[in-house]
Amino acid sequence: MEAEPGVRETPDDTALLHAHAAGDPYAFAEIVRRHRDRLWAVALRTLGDREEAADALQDALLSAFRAAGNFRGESAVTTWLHRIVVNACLDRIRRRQSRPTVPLPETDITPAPVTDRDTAMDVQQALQQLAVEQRSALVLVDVQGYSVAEAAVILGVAEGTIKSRCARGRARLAVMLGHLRNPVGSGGVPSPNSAEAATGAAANRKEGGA
Amino acid sequence: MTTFSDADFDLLADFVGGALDGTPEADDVRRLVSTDEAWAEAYGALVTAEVAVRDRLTALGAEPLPVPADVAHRLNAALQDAVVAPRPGAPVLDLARAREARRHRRQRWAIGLATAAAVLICGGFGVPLVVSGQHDKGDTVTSNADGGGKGEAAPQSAPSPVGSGGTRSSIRSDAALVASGQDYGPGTVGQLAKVSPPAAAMAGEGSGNADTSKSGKPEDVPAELRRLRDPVARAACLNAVVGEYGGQVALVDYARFEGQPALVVIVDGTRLGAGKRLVIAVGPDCGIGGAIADELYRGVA
Repeated sequence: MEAEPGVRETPDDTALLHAHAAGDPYAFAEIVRRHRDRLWAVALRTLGDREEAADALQDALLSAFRAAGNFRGESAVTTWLHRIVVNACLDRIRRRQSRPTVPLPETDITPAPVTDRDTAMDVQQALQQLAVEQRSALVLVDVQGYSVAEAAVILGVAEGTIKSRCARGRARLAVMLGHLRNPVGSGGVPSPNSAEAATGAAANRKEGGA
Repeated sequence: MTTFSDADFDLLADFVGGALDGTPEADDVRRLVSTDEAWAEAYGALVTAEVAVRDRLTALGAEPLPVPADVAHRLNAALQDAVVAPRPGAPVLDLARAREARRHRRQRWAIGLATAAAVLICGGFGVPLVVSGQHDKGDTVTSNADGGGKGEAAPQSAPSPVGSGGTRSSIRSDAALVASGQDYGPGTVGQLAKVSPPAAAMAGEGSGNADTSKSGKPEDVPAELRRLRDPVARAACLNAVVGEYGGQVALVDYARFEGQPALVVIVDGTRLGAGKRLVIAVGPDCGIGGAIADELYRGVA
């Protein structure tokens, strides 16, 4: 027996997507097999509901299946798939006009005592209380481990916007999870808005991210 | 007591999260933090809390969250339906003509005019395993041609062979399909090449006969090879092998190679064999994208 070293040449996602577009009936299923767990995690953590996540993932994958011919290779296939899945989730959230975010008109920034954490929300529950823009950014970056740049491509916004959504989302989660004291609505500090003459800070900044 | 408005809270959060880096606002907040005790206290608290939140979110992401089996099944079914559904603008299938065409194909098969196809009913599977030689027209012969299965309406056909010219079969007429489930290694896989395809391996279409002496128990065959039990998928794999190395497939065994699920293929007359048989072990992804894709072992014997 004269053995030659075996060569493994697993087609990459792009090759599989092109094969699918060319009519290979198995190529797309292979792409799904590779990425479905991560896509499922994103859908479930963004929507917070198993059935909704299953519906969104199915819609998204069928959409990707049909739109494969439009894939231009400007991003990785997995990024492209995530964008379709996240958009499907956001569409569902907007359609159902989900629960409003927890209003935090006056927020105490004092560190919370340990005992506060006994009654703190589960992190998954707390995520669902965030504005959907903050939640989807945090799910991608902090939970799923995507870079800010990748999350920006997936969500179709600037990197600075992702940073801002994540930062503000984390700050609100810190309150909900008991890492910062709950609002007590008294006292105050000079706001950069009220002290703008002294500081020059922008008064009506809606969302950070240059 | 330190109380911020929403706007202050967001601004401080942006600062802590780096969203203000390089902007004038960052300098403003930095000045406040360094000169105002309340802002300094708030900044310190938020930095600490943010680290804790990041840790919890990271821990959440570390929890495995595989697709539940029922959801996976549902996705597979939906995608399979999508595969067999006619694409927009696709010609409408004339069922009467399709049945007639299938009947002609069966007749060609039955009288041996179909080019080099071999069928072995694999014992224990209850599923006819078919190797098609008619690749040049993308017209894969299947043993359940009148079954009305989903594969009939599939808009896609098996990939054409690469390098065979499509003028002669890539499958020997007496090629055999075996499902031994055996775990081969480099020292043992060559034995398979010394086995001539048994005459009993040739079976009529849908005869239900099985060469059980050559077939393993169903449980011996790795489940990962299920995809390659589909005639179209298997044909795509074998076409890829022959397209790469030339020759004709003489034997296919659903088995393992060094513990990994493998389709072991014996090919005669290859460019590499120099008169010897090529033994190649391929994994479950063989044929995807029209390529071997998943070669585990290659040798001559």
